Amino acid sequence: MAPQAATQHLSLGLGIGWRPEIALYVERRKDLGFVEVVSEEFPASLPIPTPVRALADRGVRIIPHGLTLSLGSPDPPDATRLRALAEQARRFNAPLVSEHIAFVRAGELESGHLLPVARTRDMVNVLIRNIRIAMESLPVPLALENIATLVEWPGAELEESEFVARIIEGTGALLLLDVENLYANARNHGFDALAYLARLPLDRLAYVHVAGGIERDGAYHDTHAHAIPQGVLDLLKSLAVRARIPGVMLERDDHFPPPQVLDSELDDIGNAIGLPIRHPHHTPPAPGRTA
Amino acid sequence: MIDPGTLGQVRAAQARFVAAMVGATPPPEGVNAPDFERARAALQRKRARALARAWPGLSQALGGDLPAQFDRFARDTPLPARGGALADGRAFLAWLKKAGCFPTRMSFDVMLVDLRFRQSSRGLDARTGPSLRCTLHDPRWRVCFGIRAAFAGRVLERIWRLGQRT
Repeated sequence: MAPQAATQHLSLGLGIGWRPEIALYVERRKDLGFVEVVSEEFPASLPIPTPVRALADRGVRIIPHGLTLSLGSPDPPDATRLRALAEQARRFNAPLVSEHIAFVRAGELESGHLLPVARTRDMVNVLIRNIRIAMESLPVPLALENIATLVEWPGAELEESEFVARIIEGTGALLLLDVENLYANARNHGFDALAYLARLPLDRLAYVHVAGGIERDGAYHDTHAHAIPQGVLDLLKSLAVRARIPGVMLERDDHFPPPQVLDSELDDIGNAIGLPIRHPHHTPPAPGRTA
Repeated sequence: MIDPGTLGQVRAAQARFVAAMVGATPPPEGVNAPDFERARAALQRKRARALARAWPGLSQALGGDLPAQFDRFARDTPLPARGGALADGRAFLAWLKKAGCFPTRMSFDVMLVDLRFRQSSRGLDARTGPSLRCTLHDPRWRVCFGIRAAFAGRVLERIWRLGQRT
């Protein structure tokens, strides 16, 4: 199926990153259309956790999100890791899978984190080659995420937006746009986030990540452990004006807040793109007032 | 077709980048040094948080010593290739034992992990055969032992803790 057709029929709604710590909260929030699971935390050797199976049984779509393919490495992606991600897609009957425009290892060393690649024309070609290999191995479409980085490689030949756009356009992959990563990089590296959005092939947009962070040591840190800044929500609203958003989700990895706070953050995300909010804790706005 | 020479240059450059990011080597030439140090520190914090989640007893066992000890360990020891934070913590505890400052209240937690995994140079590998592990050093119990075996697609695991210490 061509990626463009895939996004036209893709309708995910509001979602959240599934974590064991908030399993009960996710189960209780009945208006979620999808959850994203970290692919490497669900090996095929272990059964699917009951809370995730329950979500799938009630029709919530499950999207495996990989962290370790290292598509930005000079070597092709590891066949074993690709097979594992493909198996995840089948296990969860996923509409798509996602990974990152990044590398995570070099030689024998694992970084433990997504690292930026040098934004050169050669690296565009490396990534296109690796992503095409991955796409051929996967039974569902692949969406690629832009990462946040505090440090950039010297000698960049391309702006980040152009780099990401060329990779998406050169492979036919879908786009997983992380607006908080975009916000972070625009803040830390001094570029216009709206101009970035204007360059992206938003017709390839599969879904959107939204998360929080903090200012520390003179930089904005994408922590996934703090409140969503208003600037990130504003960027999400700007995106909603420019493109159809098949799915949007909250990412929270640590310092999990009380359920009311998670509700509030999901409501803010849904409101930003005009999604109807239908969960038990939501109070609809009074007639005549906007949400 | 990508020029092999170009791939070789990328390989070398990324190796220098990762080595500096996870260890104590200087950042690659041309990289903004303050930005790189900020990123390296953020990565260390992430690694420490992942460790705390995988080994929740460590904070209590080491108390205020944990950040400094882990920082010293992490500077010289890259993240294991296999096993993530669980393997990282197991390697950290082995490092503490070698340094003569293993926290005995982690003995039982280590026994549970060793019952299921084998430590290797690349991290932790899941055991496929039967295993028997024992510790006499837990401060709460005189003897802790466990057995684990796989049979007909099912796993049997039993843990015993005997002789509660007063």
